[in-house]
Amino acid sequence: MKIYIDTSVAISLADPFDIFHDQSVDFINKLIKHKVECNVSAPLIVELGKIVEIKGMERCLDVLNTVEDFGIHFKSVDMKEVWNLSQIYLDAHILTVRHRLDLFHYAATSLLNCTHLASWNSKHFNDKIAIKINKVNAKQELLSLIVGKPSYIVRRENLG
Amino acid sequence: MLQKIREELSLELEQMTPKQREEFFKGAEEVYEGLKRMAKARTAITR
Repeated sequence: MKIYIDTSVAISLADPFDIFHDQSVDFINKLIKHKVECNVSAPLIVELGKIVEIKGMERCLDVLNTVEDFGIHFKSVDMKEVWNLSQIYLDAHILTVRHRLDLFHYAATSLLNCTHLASWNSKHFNDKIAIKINKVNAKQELLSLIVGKPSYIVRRENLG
Repeated sequence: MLQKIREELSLELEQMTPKQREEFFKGAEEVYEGLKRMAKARTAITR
């Protein structure tokens, strides 16, 4: 079991006023307790650049410090490969071009051989979309992903 | 907020040429390296 967390979880972790903060902290602590590897990757960086533009640098520094404090690994991934895989997902009409960044997270999770993708955005990170992603992944000889909110992953994998 | 950022960024990336995208991703990586160094330095004085 190897978890990838998307930017929504990293941001919630870093912001004590975020509505998902406590649940995010609880989730990461459960992963630590069960010695489950937790990762972020390049799509987070791409989004942080935009967050700096809109929310200022302080917010980004908090996210980076938090990621480090919780022992979350930053895994390198070639963004060209992420782009190409996200294009295959787009060609399969899984989501639209407006949601390319969401597909980046699916692609990074798959390319890093992570088994689970956790996000608070249940509109674009859910079972139904995971089924479509996994059809493409099977053709690409990539792992099948389990996708959902941290609370869903905790329940599904008995991490309580 | 994050979803709005993602949608804007997704559309911006769509308008870039492959070369521009490559530069953008390289730039993002450099920003990340810089931010990481800044975060580390800040931690050293606040803890």
